[in-house]
Amino acid sequence: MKSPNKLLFMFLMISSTCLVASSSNWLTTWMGLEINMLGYIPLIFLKDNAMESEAAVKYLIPQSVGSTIFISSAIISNYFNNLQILMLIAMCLKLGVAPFHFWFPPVMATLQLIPAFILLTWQKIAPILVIASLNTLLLKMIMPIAVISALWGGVGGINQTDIRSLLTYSSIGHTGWMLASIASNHMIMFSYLLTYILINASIFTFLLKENMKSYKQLFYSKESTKMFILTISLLSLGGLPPLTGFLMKLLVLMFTEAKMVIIFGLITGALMSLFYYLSLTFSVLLNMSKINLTKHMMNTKESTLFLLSQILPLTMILFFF
Amino acid sequence: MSYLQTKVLSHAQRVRKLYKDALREMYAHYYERAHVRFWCVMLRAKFDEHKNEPDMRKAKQLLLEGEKKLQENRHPFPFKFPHSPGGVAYGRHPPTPDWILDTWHPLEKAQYPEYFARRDVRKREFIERWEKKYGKSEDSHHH
Amino acid sequence: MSLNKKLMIPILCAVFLYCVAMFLWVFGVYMVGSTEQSYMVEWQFFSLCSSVWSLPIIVDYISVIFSCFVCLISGSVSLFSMSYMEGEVYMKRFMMLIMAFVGSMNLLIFVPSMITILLGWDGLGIVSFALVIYYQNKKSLAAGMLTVLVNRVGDALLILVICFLVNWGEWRIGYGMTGSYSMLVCFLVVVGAMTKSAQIPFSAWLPAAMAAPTPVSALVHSSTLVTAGVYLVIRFYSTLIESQEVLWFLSKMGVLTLLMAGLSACYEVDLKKIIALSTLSQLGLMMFTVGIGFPLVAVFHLLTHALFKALLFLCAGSIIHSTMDSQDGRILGSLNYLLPFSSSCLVLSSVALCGMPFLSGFYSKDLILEGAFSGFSGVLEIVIMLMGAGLSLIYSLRILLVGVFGQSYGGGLSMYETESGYVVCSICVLSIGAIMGGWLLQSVWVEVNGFSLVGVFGKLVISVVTFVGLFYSFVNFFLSKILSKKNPSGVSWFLSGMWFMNLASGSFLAGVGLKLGKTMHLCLDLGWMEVLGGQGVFSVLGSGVSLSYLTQKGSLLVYIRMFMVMLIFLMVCINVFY
Repeated sequence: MKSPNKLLFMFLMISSTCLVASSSNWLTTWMGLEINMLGYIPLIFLKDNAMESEAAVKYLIPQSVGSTIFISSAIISNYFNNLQILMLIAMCLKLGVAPFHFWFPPVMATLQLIPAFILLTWQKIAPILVIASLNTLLLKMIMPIAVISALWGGVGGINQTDIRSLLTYSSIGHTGWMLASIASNHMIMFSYLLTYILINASIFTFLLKENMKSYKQLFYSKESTKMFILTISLLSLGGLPPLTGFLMKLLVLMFTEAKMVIIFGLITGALMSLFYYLSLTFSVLLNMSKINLTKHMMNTKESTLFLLSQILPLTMILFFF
Repeated sequence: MSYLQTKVLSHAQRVRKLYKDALREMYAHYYERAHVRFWCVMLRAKFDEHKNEPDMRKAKQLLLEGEKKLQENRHPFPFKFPHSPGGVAYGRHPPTPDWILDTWHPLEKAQYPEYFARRDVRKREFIERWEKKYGKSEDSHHH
Repeated sequence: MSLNKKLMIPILCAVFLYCVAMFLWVFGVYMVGSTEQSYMVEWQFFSLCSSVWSLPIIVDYISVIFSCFVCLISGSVSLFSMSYMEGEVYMKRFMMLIMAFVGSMNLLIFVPSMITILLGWDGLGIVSFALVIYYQNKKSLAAGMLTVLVNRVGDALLILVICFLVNWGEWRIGYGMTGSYSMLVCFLVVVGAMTKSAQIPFSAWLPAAMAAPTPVSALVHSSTLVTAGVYLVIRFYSTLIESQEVLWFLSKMGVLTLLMAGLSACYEVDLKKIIALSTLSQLGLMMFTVGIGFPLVAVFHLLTHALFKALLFLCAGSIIHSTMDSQDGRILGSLNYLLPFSSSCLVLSSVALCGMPFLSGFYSKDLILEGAFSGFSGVLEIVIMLMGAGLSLIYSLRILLVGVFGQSYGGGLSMYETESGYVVCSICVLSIGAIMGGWLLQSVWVEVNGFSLVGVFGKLVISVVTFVGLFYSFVNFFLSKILSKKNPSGVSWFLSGMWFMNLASGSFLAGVGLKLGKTMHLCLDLGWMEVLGGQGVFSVLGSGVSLSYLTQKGSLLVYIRMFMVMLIFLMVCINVFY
């Protein structure tokens, strides 16, 4: 990201998301989404190899299909109100939610770590905002999609050895939870999204530092303190009870208007994803006795980010009680 | 008598066992010494009555009857001395294993010089005997 | 006289406990008892889901006096164990256990919240287990397991009570609260208390627990621990009164225990076990008193009983210690010549237990008997209760006749020891309690003074019962001097074996439990739980994972096609269903 054009595209990506957030009609929204996609694709190229080009194509086609469906259904829905559901599905495709997620894991598997991080976090904001601005009647129909997504995020992640694939499936599961929270209260959805982004940020900082891809590398890492913090972040992402990720899930459960079946599906999905996080982190957790957390070790940039990502979302709970 | 019989007992042995058992039982039944003595004498008289029983079948019959009667009249709380097996204080102070003495500090051992000198001699003799019987042990550490 | 370091510990504990007892008596009893004011401090942690989590501390006459007596008795016991446990190497550990016991007892006494009571209750169970298996032989271990497992039943019931009390919104007890499942909660509390107080289905552990050292028996298994159950019922009484059926059940069980323990005590030969059974029968009497609606009288009897029963145990302990661990009544005898002080105090406490006028037991026992006539109870119950009261005379005299006045069959006289100064001191303290306790309590605590009116007939029956017991035991004693052949019959086996209670709660339960456990293990743990649990989930997830691999195998075009198919499918679905 040294060349100035990267900065330009970065700016495009960010400002287009703002455009989506503040738009008042579907045309501007669509425009924002397109610019967002175009701004992101050049960011994929860090090393200029064939893998990245493949990833770019694999990203471009589903996204443009989604945008096309979105704008056409937006136009048609003036005449056929029923077709508004297509907009929802198009946005789900852009988000990579479970029945429409097939492009998502292969793209993530070939990306470098920084674009992967952007794809996991920032690129989620615009489509989710679009979904949140849809008709509330439509939002009831989103629940089956949310459940399928949460369950699939759990099932798919088992047996993955690549950390990025794992995070992809976990992102699918988390998107399901976010969709479930849209129907109740936008505040919860925002805080969930923000928490998700923060926790991912702290995880990716560590992964970048170690340049880690396979999860077997976790076993051989030297710096036990960092490993410990990474482990806690991962578990927080999985939603283990005392950690922040769990509190967000708890908020969703407390304020959602979904039926019991939906909630059961969501929880089952979360449990399955917790399973692979735990199996990922067991080796580190079992070595806990060797770790001594000194003040010096907790003073690094990573640990500060970790603490921020764990504690900042907690303050958002204040909005709800 | 539901115990597993592990050896063959002759008639005389069984009678003796019965007599001893019945004597013990007297201690459980009576509080007064005089009563115990009285009934013990009575018991002896009863046994002596058939001391020279010529008919073996009748003797066998008597023995079986005696055993049955003893079983029927068992006291609910058998008489045991406190420190004998089955008594209340049995096993209360377990005997110390001998090898504990090996772990004593030399200063402690110095307080009983004669005993430990004798003990060392005995130990050496024991090891010698052992090695003569079973051959030399590879492990040089002995208790 | 030089005290070595080992002996400093019990001395310190004893002095501390005596001081606490003195403090509680002087300030607590005269401030709280005589003015009849109760103080309550409550610290509320938080209130979650409309259940209040709080730590209440109650200072009223019951808790203050009970705590005072617990401290007094445990102080005497510490002093006593200076002599009794003189051969003990780990004196510190022993005293720690005693202090842990006193601590958890006080937690139970002062904090009327179900959760904290459970803490104290559990503490008592664990400490009493550790004390029962203090002598490391097989007999103690068996007794300890029986004790701890029966107590565990009570713990489980109390945990259930805590679960059900969530419905009421708080765990504090003693406010006369009721709510949903009131009857079930009361029943659970009462049965839980019955396990601790060794009432009828759970009686077997109390005589078995006599395998503990005698000072421990004096403290734990006679005067304080076993009364924890009675204390819980008394604290819970204001709620229990709402469900009369449970009280009815309690009174029946109490009176049956009274009869059973009394009869068994008349057959038992072990000195400590006779005393344990007499404790059991007195506990039954207390439970009966609560059951027929006189909780205050039950408290009164509980307190006086604690005093003279601890004295009885200390005297027995002194005798056992001086005669080289002999506690069989057939070995003991002629103690009036050998140990005049201990045996005279033994006589004193037995007489107090019988209810000799103007000793401790008289005040409370008389009140109970009078209360039984004026309370709501059936005729049969009263008859059995009177029989039990008469039996208490018989077994008390039995202790004296076999132990103090009988013939000795020990070893030579050289084996005997005499009481040390500590023993004399501790016994003296408790003797004063046993003589004066009832009178002092009645003078401090005006509420229990003669409140019931009993006719001449009732009074006559009480005295007749007392004298019949006395008469019967003397006749029996002199008859036994006559040479006669005794053959134990089946009935005596039944009565001496505590109505086969120990068989029922030991072998039977263990057998059934083990069999059931094996079946459960085979059918559930290795069977259905595997299929529906771990292995089943694993196979389902495995097929899910292979499906996800299958879907990710294709190229980009396949994905787009799949998306289109999904899109159309969903459109159809949504348009059909919504």
